[in-house]
Amino acid sequence: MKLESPNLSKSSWVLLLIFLLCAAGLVNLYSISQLTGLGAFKKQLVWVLVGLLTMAAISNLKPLTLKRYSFAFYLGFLVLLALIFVFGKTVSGSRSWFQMGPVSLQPSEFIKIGIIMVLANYYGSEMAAKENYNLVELLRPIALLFIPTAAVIAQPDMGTAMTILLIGSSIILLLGISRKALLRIIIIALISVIPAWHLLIKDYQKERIYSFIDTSSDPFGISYNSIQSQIAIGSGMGYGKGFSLGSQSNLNFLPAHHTDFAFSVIGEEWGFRGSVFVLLLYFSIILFILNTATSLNDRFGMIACFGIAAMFFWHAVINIAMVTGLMPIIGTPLFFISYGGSSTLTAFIGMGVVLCLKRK
Amino acid sequence: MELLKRRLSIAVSLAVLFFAIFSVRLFYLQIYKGEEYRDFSERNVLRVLDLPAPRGRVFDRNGEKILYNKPSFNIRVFPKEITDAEGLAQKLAEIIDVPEKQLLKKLRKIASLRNFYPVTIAKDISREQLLLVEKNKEVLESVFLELGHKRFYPHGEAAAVLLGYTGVADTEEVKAYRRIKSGTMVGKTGVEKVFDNELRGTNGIQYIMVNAHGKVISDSLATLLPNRKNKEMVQGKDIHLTIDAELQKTANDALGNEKGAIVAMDARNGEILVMASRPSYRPEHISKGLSPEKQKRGRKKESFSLFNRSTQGTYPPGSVLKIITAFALLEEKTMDPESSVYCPGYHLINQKRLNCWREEGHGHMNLREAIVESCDVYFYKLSLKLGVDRLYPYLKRFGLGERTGIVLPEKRGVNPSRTWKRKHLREPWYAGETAMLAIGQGYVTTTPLQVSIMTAAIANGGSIVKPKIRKTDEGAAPRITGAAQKLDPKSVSFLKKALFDAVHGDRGTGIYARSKVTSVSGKTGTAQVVSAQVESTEKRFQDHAWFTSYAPSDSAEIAVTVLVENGGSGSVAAAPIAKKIIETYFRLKKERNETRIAKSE
Repeated sequence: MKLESPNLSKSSWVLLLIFLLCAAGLVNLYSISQLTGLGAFKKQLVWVLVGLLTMAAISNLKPLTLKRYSFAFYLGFLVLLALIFVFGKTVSGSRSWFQMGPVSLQPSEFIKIGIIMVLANYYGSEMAAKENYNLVELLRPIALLFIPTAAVIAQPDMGTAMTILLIGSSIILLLGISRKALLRIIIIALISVIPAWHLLIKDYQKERIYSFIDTSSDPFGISYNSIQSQIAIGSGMGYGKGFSLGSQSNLNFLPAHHTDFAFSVIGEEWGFRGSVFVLLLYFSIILFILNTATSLNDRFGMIACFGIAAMFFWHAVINIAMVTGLMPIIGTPLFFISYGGSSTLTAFIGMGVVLCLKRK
Repeated sequence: MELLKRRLSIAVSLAVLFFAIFSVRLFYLQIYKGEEYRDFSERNVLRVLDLPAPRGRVFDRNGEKILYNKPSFNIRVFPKEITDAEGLAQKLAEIIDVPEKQLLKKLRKIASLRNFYPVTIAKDISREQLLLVEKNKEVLESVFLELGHKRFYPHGEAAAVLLGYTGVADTEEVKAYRRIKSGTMVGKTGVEKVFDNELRGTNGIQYIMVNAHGKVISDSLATLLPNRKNKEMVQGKDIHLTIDAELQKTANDALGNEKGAIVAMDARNGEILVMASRPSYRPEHISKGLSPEKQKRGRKKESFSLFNRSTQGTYPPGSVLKIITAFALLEEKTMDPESSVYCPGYHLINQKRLNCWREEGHGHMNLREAIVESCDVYFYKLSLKLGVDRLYPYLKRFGLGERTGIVLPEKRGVNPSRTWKRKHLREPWYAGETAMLAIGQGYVTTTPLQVSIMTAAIANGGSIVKPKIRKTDEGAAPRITGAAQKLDPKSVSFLKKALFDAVHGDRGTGIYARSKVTSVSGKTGTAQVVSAQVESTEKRFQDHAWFTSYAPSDSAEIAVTVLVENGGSGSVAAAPIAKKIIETYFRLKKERNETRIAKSE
């Protein structure tokens, strides 16, 4: 449990990266507290501490333990995800939360780790190794991926569902998929797009997509946010407006500036140097994880590490593309920077798994 | 294993690639376009102004404005721009008459809205307040002064009930009217309500960018929100009424402190000249704020002044109804109108004594005399011969218990029959009730407007007109309502003679309506509120006084119906009021003719 454990000290430079990112996130929350108060800052501070402890605890486990319990891990979160439909709390249209006193948890974040672990376990044995898998061989992992995805879609939380699918698909691509199987999957996906568009995608989500394609269709509600975010980032210029001086952020032109648009606040207040620095930290962590994966000598560890790298990668790509106006607005947090207990904890659990596997 | 490693290296390059893409994007936004965005962020205050459309004006039949707008200034606040609610509350509390604490609570609530639409803090502020806001402009950054339009009623109370008032649309109205935003002013009662769709107009929208000091920056909006175009407001349409404002004022003044209603219409075509209802209210009191609950109650409750007694008040018509009973007797040939019936002052039906209003009796009466002197016994006796089943259709033909078809909200009153009684009271009809009905007592109730239409039908030679308050280009032809065909001219002319004598004859009950200006025909009514056994001098137990009339007697132009609630005798309390209105009508007509001639010369 001690952070100075020999295991962690070996990777001390990545710990520094995580510290810096969390610090940036906390500074950010403090900076915008003029309007919202210090509540979010304090809560996030607690979450970071809880996350650090969790990470330390997981990293001290034996890698074999992780492997053995991966399915239980997955199943546990799946049950939580199902319980959402009974006890869940609806926030802005999505039934994604458990509310327990001051703490609210979002199982759809944690399930990402579960999926990564269960897929790694399934394909982790040396016997399962193949150059490419065909569709039949992929049927079980696809099912394991789709069951939680369907639950998340039903909440409905399209942003999270999309990241889950991207993480799962990344793992399948890593494992290798025969060209025929890939083609079939693409065809099935294309066929299911039309009913999905009509049945699953809510109107507000359609509007977001439309508004991205044609920025003038509803500049107020939706691309307004995107434009405001770009203005915030752009107005930071080279050196930023300075701590707590972001007019966009503090006058509340920026929506959800403590969660999904946290990066915009960094862009505005710390400028190009600040935002590129955070970007650098982020991709360094991803590279660290990928490097760890390459350095490992068992399939389970490699796949699991890769999955976690994919999780960080897609979160970063979607979030940053969204706030810089390269993509429609899809609510996705930036790990360690965005305010939110579930996403912070998920990131720490992911890092804990990586550090645990690195130990060999 | 090697394969996985090879694929992992692809992932590494992908990560590096995306890092590069984002770095370039950030460079583009922050360095290349940075200055432009900086500029934007500093002036980035969007305001959405709804430009309230002035409601249409209302004119009377002579083109006089009886309802129009005066400019008013409203203090509004932009929720997104509130940075210091405490400071703002403190400053505003010095200007407007709201306690600082209350203001702060409201401002906090507004600030939490965080949108671009302004919220009204104070309406129709005074000139002094206006100056204070202007003077403190620097401090009141999120505040803006809206040029609004307040309704102005030049005749005040006189036409207030008829014209009605406006208020902010409630949720039901927002739903019902469609395409109106919450916060829009809509008509709540009277003319304002029934013609609301035309009077309302359409509010405009203006999107503007202001800098941190509230200064408007033009054009910047076009770059940011290319599709948000400003919308011009469309003024509400004007409405021309058939009302004669001068005459309306006379009527209102004539009722004075009495409760009651006056309806005057053009007897030839149903154009309403006067529709007065007392008590009335001062329109400016309503617009200054009456809680919505109070308004809602007031529109229904009869003692309240928002209630239009001319169309919504139902009263026993008393002897006024004898006009219809007489018509029915003539048409059904129940008796020879010239033959006499003896009135001893009472009539016994099944050992029950029904009194005539004249205790000593009228002696021998024929139909004409019975109308002129309003003898109850005559009508008791003959109505029993006629029977309720043959009386009922005539009441119906004159529009009793039916809608008149006026656009204003109205009550139908009660035209009782055997069926009606069985349905509502689950009791058979008794003979005594026919006698009561014949003199306008018992179950029968009417609105003053219904009585006026009945009177106009006699006056115009037999046409039931559809009352209208809006001037249209349809011309002056009477519009006959529903199934009511024209009445028999022979019976009508008999009644006209009798109604003339009721005012001009020596023994007529309507002698107080006699005028030197013109010939007047009319009928009094004194309707009992409670049964005669109750001996009380209390005002609310006094009889309702009616007088319904038309003039000139031979070629009627105007029909005037007066009801004074608990006014006592119709002859004393109501007839003089009708006379005053008729005389004013002819005086105004003469004066207007003279000015027209003077002008044309």
